[in-house]
Amino acid sequence: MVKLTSSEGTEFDVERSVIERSLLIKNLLDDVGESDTCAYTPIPLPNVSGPILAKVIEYCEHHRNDPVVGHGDADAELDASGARVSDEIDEWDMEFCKVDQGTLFEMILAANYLDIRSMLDLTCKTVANMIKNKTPEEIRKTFNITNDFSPEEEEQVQRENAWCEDR
Amino acid sequence: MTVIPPASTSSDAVTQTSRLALLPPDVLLRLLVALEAEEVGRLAQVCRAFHAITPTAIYLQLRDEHRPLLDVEIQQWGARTFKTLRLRPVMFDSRHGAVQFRCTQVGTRQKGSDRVFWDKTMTNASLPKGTRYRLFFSKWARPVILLDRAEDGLCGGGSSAQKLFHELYSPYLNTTYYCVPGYIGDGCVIAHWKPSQQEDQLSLSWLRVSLSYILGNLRHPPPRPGLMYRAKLQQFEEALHARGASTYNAYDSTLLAWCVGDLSDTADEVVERVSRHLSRRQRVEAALLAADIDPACMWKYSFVQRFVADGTEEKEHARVAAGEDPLAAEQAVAAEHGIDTVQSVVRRIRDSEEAYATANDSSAPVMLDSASGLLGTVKRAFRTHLFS
Repeated sequence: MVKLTSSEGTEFDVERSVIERSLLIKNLLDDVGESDTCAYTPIPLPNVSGPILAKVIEYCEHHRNDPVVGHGDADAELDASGARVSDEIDEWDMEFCKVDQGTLFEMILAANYLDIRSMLDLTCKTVANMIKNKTPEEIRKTFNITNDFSPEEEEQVQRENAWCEDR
Repeated sequence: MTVIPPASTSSDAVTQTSRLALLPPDVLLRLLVALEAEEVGRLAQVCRAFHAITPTAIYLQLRDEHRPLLDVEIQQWGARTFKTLRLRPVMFDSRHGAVQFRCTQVGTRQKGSDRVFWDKTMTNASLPKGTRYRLFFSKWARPVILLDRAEDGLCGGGSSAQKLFHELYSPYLNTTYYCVPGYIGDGCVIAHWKPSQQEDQLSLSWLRVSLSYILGNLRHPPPRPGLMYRAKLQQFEEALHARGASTYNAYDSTLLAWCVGDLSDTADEVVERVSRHLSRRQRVEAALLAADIDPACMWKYSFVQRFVADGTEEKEHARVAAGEDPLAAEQAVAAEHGIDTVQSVVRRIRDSEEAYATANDSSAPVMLDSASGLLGTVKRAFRTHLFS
């Protein structure tokens, strides 16, 4: 078992094989070796809050038997012809990502910090789906972003991106 | 055209609850790459922070999903076999919006055939100086290019084939470049050709293309593409205006070399070296604009392509450099060689475009319906040897 401490000091006990989906923690444990210290010395995770760490552990437990995708596998999601393999999200993952926007972005940051590539991809795809089929104004409204272009700049940017308007 | 600065990290646009814009750039990039290029393009219009990062995301998206991204068809005039260079993107200069490509494969294709035979042993090809070429990107739809019938008379005179010739035209697919030593191109496409070991042959060092040029032809009719190296051109024009000058050869190889960063001279020094005489292509474009005709239509006509490529332009420049009036120099050279002048070329384009516009007003629209067989007939009748 491995003990993790969230930013507020909450401790979580988790099986090593589960949390090793995080390359950050896996590398850390590999460096420490098989000593007993890791079982009793909590690993502090100052960038991850308790509720988010609980979500991360839930994700890692569900996907504990999936093959690990590392950074060296940039092409892992591409088929032989170079086309992207389906972007579909499976049912469990979709339910897992049904959280408020703040939590979703916290999950992205945690997956990035803990280096869990598949969770990062999943959460990024979820946000990407929230962007799809929206106009720039709808995107601003969805994510609470202020338009900081001057009218002239906005016109220029629209011209630059005329290629992506509805055909 | 102004260069839009990216937002500072403390941009007012990013409110406290705008978590999306506060993601680290590498994470935001990963998120954007999960979108289609068109969606990312829309995101660029949201705020400055996204505008700054989206070109890189689009580049990565295109690079990973459309391999090979670019095929360059090389058409050797009069030849039965064409060389095709397949290029791969090797670098993206997000500051200047330029994607750099390098040749990785060489193939040959018989005239009138779609099939390319790739030579696995060759990674770059030597081409004769003056070879004419066009670009075709794998994300672009395979076009139907119809032969220019202007040589036979006015285009658009009610004939469906001629109407299709106009309707299916894309300036992106028809802009023609030439294999010459050094830097050649325009604000959207720049190539560097270096001497090969074989005499009178050149090999491609690299090709740089504006990202918006690659994306522009996804839409029909395609919008005017954004230029690469806008900031450098702005700097050059300011130095030029400071000297009281306004005209220059926009396709001058010294200017192109400076824009891509291969010359360390100051803008003032470059102004000294760049020709003040407009190139023939620029003069045609300017004359078309003056006649209220979109200059992008010039590549539609093979007589214009020949006119722009004609080597007698050098003679014109020599006469102008010797103090002769540009118009008189052009007319003298045209008379000597029995060729067109800018005025006569523009007149022919105007007549053809006007005839098309008139015919288009009065005739029923042509349906691109394969069931009618019309498109197939037209394809067979007018299919050209390029990009068929």
